[in-house]
Amino acid sequence: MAKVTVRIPTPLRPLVGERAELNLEGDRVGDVLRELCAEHQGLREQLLDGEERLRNFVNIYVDDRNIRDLEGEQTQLADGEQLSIIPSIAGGRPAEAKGAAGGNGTAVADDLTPQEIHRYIRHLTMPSVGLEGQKKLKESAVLLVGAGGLGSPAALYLAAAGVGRLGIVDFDAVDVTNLQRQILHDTRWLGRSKLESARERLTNLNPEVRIETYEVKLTADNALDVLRGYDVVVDGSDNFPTRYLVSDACVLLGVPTVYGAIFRFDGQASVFGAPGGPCYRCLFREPPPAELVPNCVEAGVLGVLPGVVGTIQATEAVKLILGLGESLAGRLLLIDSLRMDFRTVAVQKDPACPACGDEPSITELIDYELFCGMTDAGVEGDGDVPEIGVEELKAALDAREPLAILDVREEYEWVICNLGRYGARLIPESELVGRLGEIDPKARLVVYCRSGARSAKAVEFLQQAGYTDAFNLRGGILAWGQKIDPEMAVY
Amino acid sequence: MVVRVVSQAERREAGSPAVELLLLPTDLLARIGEDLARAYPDEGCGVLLGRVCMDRREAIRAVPAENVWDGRSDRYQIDPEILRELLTAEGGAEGLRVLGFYHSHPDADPEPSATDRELAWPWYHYVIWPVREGVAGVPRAWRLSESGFVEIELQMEQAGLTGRQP
Repeated sequence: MAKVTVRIPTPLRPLVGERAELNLEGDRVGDVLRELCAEHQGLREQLLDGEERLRNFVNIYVDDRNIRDLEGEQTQLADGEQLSIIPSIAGGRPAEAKGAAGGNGTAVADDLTPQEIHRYIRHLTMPSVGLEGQKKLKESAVLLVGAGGLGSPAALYLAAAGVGRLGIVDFDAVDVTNLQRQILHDTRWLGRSKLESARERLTNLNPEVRIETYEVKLTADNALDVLRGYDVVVDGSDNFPTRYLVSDACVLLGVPTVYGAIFRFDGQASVFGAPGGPCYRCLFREPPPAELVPNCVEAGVLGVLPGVVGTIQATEAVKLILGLGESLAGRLLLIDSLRMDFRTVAVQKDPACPACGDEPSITELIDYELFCGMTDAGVEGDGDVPEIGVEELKAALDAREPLAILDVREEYEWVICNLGRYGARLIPESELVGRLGEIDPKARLVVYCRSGARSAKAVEFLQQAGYTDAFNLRGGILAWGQKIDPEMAVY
Repeated sequence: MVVRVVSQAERREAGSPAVELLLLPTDLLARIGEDLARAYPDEGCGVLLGRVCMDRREAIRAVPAENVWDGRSDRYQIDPEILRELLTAEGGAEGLRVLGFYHSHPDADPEPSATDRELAWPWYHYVIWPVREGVAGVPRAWRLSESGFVEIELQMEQAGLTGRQP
């Protein structure tokens, strides 16, 4: 008789004293199986049917061949061959449930998919987030005001975290000067829509997130429509009118705003409009006078800083959605990146606040540019000073008219671009008072800055000082770069 | 829902749970889900390999298997040839064992059907995935006991919790 070994699959091992292999003798497969069942009665039921025949859902292999492909139980055995009992694994879905979405134990629509569980596992393993928290994120909607320095990191992290719906408001194109800090965008997108750049980047990062874009300037007319339906608003705007607008609109809608702001090396962050918490107006009742508001372009900002502040904003947004920890509501975070000092100061809810106080006077949105003293005239020059357009200036220069051109920007701005080839001289606005003697009072003066705002003030001052033949260059060197010299590096 | 995702820390806090566990790393979870979604509207199936320690099993590898049940889209049978190879290799260099099997229930709940019950083997874990309209859902795990199918706690976690960079 042939000596063979029989391999026993795990489920049957308890029936053979937990052994994985047994040594048996027999000339045919059927003989060995029957001897096996005679020695181990428990196996009989598993392997043989009532008529002592091998059950359908058991496969027997001799080495690597199925006995069904040989001679079945009559298959001859040789010394040293191995018999394997291979369970046949089969089943099927319940016929009655086909096509039915109902019934007990049905997965609900908001369940995470296996792919999502894999993607968010480092959230899921934290007991305070878990499946429930991740589902909250998936069901949440966050609106980002601005896809710039603050909006970039906030959008990236919120998309990565699995916020279900991410709205973005912006109307700018990607400019090369943005790329020093606006990490959502890259060189491929220069000159194209920030929103489309954002959509592509965020969709690549996390295709599960629904991106909604609003290519508009947020105004009193459209703000409520845009903001409505979001759970949290992340304000990444860079100007006071928009901040007041966002804060007031969020108070009216009952939606918390995560505020962030940056200036050179300093950052701020807070949460406004949370239940019981203050709003932006509780902190700053009135905007600062427009002339004291530094234009961000002129002030500059450390490129990394919006990364810090925008990430803090994203953190606060996620905490608000998950209901975790203590938010910055009622506190203003002040960041001094030079000293790397983070401190918070308390911000009380003001019962007399016109927006969120006990008797609010702001019951609808107002004209925020007017409120902030930043009407177009205020920005572009107040219109009272004589102006000259860039085409007129070019024509006058080509005609060799005697002109003195004065640049009132800062020196670092001069380095980027200037009209030096036309004889322009640099006297920064701040030094003008002390350096008037350098200017010929009889000359016809054309004064420019970046956009025309500072030079308008300079012209006003020069006229009062007796330089009556002074003109402001409308649109500044930006307009020159756009209309006269497209090769010029503008900023 | 029996599906839970549990951190190591939480498990330590809870002490050694007496329940039967199947640990399913989330990369496997995601990949199996994709395979089964691809098989939709037919049933897909495969074999789970891994380690066994008392009542705790940890899936390490998933081997998709051909569904050799001919003629019906609502049945599955794992190709016995694949299973033979895997069973023969059990306890080999990798030390992996066949822990059980997975299959999908297209447009049905992840609970054992009458057919599943009839054809089940003891000891093995049967992980059943609902796939609705081509989207794989969250699976449930079962084992045939003397009194019928009992549910196994399925813990989904990232592979080798200690071995990967944070």
